[in-house]
Amino acid sequence: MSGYKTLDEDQARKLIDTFIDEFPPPKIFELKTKPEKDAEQIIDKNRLRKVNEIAQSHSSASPAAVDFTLETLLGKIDEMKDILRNLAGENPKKCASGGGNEIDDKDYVEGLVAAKFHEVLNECTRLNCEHLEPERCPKLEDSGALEDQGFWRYLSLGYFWWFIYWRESSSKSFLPYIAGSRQRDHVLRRMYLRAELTYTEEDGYDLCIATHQSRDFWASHVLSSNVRYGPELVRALVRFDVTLNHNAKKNPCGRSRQEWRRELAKIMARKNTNLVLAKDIYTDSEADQIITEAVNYLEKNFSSEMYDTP
Amino acid sequence: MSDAIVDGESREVRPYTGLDDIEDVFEAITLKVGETVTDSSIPLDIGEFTTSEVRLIFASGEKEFLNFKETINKAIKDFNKRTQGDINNENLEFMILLKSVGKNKAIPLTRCSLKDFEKNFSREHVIIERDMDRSSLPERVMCDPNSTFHISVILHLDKKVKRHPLTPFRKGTWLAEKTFTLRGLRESLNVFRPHPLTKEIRERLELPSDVVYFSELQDPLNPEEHGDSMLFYVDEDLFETLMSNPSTEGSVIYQTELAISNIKTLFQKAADVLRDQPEIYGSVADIKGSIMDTLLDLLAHDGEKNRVDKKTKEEYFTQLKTSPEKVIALIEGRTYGERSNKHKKAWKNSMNPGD
Repeated sequence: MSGYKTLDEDQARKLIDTFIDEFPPPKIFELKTKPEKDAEQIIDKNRLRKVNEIAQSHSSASPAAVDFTLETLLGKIDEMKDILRNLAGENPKKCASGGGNEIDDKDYVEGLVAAKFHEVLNECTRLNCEHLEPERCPKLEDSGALEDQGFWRYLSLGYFWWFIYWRESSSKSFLPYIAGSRQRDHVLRRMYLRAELTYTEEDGYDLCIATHQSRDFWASHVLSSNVRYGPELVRALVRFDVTLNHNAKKNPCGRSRQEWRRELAKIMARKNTNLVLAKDIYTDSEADQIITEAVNYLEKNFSSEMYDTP
Repeated sequence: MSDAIVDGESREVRPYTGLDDIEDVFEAITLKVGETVTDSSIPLDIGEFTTSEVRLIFASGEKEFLNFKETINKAIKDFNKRTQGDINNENLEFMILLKSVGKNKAIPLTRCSLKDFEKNFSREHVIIERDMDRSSLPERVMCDPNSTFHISVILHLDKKVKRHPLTPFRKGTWLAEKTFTLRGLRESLNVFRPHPLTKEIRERLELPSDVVYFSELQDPLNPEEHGDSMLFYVDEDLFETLMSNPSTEGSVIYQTELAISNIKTLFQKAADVLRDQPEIYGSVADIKGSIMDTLLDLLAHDGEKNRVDKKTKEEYFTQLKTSPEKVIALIEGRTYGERSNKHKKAWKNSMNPGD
């Protein structure tokens, strides 16, 4: 029997209100001493208790499913918080000033945490597996949880409120990032898929953590597009993306990173009309070739626009 | 002419002509799940889905299957003759592809050259193996009745060939494909089922009391938002009256009006998304499995052939970008269907002065 916990949208909405009204804001950077960390952990556990009081258990009779428990995740949360703490600019005052520290590029930090999150989540799902051969072990994707919004709501509020609170601190409502109807906005799901699509045995999570200021790139240009069915193409797209600079003058044709991404996504959407997109259809070099052709085509267009400008 | 300078896919529809015969034989492929045969999509709440046999049927019999193979070969020869192309049964690959929107994966189940397909596929159908004890992902995808998945039969180039005008050349370019959608229980069409617009929901959506119905949706083109993320609300009082008297004349007329209003909102929203984010959805392939995909199927259904006309569907999709008002008018007419005359009569009667 498989199992994982879920929350429906109304439950998630009520829990967010409870977290904001009855609990102090989650802390990440302010915790310097062990007693401070212990005190925060107690608050985290109390929040989790609130979540567990109303969460439903989802079970499935599928023989391929797994028993899904997240108990061990608690121990890993602090490691993930450390990722944020160890970045340059962890001083909240500096962050507020937007001084260009690593921590200010929240999309980049999302990638760093995504790598760890993906690794930890997959480890957790194998805990109760009795297979001797690792390739036969059920994985997260087998549990049915990945496509269940209720699972992401549970995980977001039960274990990752601290991250979502920090990630979306300037938003009016947290709900869209946890349970809204636009799945591309769900922070944890986006993180998982970003890591899943870019991970390779040779390079690990290098490409997952490589992109900067990339929320739209991941949410709109990859995860909302059919290109996501071809991981090799996604990785080729990322390999090109990391060559782009935030300073438009340093990019080909002097175009901004956003403009390159947007136009490239349009070209890829047209290409995808005629291409089969699935795993293992293209080698890495073939995927690079497809992206290079699109980039060359765009460079030509950009150049002709430059000449056309009076 | 280098590939880098000219990129053939600068338009959104397929630029290749002369592949109609291959597309037609692929279009006639059907899928049988248990005893249910489908031409396009099938809900997974059909009885014992997980224990049903899944069978792709290429042709109605042995003789027709030989014709299926011959048609493909002849069409390729004709195509090469006309375009001086180099496509043949060794650089074309036959593939059965499984795609799960929820799991975000597309996994080939069967891959072989067209030559091997001709040699090794001797029956007019193929059974898709679903060994429940095996742990590979395809089996697991196909054993979960909750989530939508697609099975596609594809003929595509497996090698890059010399480029000629209006000819497929790049590896991965498909010449013909047929896709079946197996719609999961979680993604049922809630969007057409009204829900009561209660006080709580009004407050959340900031809707004043004079609003009678409302469609809550984000992106009807997104295959992942097919399920419970789109909701259609009707004023609580009205909803209860409607549910208590579902088949009175007034109720039927009102239900039709509600359905049309909801569908029009969906189309308008889709047109807005296409206008605001043109980079996301290039063609109907990008919306496969979405609510708009289903509605465009309805619009492009060819009654005589009893199947969806792909070209018409692609045209409607393009029209949704250029002149959405026309597509909206068409779907309105299609939704009224046979009831159109009855409605016209009812309206005319209500407009005429009484005797």
